Amino acid sequence: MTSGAWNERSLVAWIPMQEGERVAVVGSCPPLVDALARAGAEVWQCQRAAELADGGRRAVDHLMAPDLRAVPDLLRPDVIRHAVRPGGTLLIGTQHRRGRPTGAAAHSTRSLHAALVRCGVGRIDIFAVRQSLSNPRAIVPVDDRILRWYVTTGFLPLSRLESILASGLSVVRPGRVALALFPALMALGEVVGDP
Amino acid sequence: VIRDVIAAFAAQLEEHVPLDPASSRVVHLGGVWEDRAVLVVFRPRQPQPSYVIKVDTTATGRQLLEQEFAALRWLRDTRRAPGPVPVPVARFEHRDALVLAQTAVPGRSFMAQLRRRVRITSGAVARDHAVLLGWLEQFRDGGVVAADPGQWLSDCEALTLAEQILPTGKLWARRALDDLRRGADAAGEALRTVVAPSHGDLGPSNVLRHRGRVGVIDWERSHPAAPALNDVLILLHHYARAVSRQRDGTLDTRDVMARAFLHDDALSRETRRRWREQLVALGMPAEADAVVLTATILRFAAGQTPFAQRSGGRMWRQIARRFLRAWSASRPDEGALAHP
Repeated sequence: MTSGAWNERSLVAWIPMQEGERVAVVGSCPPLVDALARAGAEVWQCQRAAELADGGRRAVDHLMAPDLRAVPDLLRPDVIRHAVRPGGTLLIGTQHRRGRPTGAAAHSTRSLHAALVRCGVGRIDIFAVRQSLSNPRAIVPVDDRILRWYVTTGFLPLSRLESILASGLSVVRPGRVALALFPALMALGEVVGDP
Repeated sequence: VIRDVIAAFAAQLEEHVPLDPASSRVVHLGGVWEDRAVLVVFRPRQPQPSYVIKVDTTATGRQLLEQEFAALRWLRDTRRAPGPVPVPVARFEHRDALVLAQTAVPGRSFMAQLRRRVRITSGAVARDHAVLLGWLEQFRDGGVVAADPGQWLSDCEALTLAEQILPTGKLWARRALDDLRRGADAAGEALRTVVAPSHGDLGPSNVLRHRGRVGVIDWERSHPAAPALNDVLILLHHYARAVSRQRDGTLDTRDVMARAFLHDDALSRETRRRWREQLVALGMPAEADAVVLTATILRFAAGQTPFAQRSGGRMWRQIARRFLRAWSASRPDEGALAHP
């Protein structure tokens, strides 16, 4: 178990990894690489999606991209199918697109789900993340009742605006509106091979 | 790993309605400590969580979880807590980790409520203190034991720790030491170590409010008989830290103790008043407030409290140093040991 310390290492706990399995980490993320190595994984770190699509390389068991901004072209069917073995796990962290467009690497829950389906990923779970991808203090399933519980009971505003917003949401029973308070999303899925 | 832990927990659970790991949903709360995960488990279609599962692999973390498990069993058997507290459900090993499962306590975090307040008035501070200290008084009610003065003397040895903690050759440090000795001598046998059941980390983050009741979670540092003032100090300090963060986000955590007790504003006045009130409630003279406060801070700095179990007291040594310096600077050159 590697978690805590308020950095990306918390994400390791979500990977159903056995000792000795190969895990690719896309982007620069030393705490995550360190935590995976300590957990007994054979870690391969790369910076670009093109490296994953390299035909001569053996597919990994799990792929983690803690921040999609570093590799915006990762979510392509040819890349994912090439990089991860069927049955392997894919974990993606991305900025949450809340209303207005904020760049190609930002996603809404729906667009993230759709992108993963296009890449041949199944059994997808989407989570809302606070405070950020590099500081995931709370990873909350995108589910109305659970978001409502989190926002009304344990949510700690980081700004005056969030304080006001959270107070309002407590009154109106937020449901998915609460998602607006989460700056990042995390997706976990299983690569099922051909889509 | 998370799914494995939930599956292992479900296999252990002896309840009428089995927990289905596949349809359960989990909120993952990362802790400040490495190798600690806190999982909040929701049964299908339930709007409130059913269980909280703590997982830890480190030696210290495992020890804290063992302490919490023992504390929760003690609370369940004695029904001492005045409000809802977690009920222990399971304790088991999973791979290299210790897993502690407990029921979830309903309610909204006191810290979350504090952070949502746009303004924190002096009246609100007084009401909050009344709620938090009211719970503490009820919790320790009937369990207070006043140890003999000899035990206080051994606690006063904590004062000699000040000599090790404070820098030599600094005027403020010498003044602080002299004042401490004078204060301890003046109070004499009126000072007693009062022990009582203790939570050990009673701050707004660990207090939940639900339908007018106060629930308390996170019993890792609990002890059936610890110096009663530890809980009071932690409570007043953590509350001041939360409020100061609202008012002045740039305040250094190590300066919070001085902020809580030494400023000339509503928060400090209320904090000092409550501290004195607690001293009197525990059978000590209100005039000894400053020396008892300092001795209590030094006890934390010396690592003599469960609170320093993981941090090793380093932070508290810095808090003590900064507090004593601010305290020394806040007083006139001569005079009795007293707060401004």
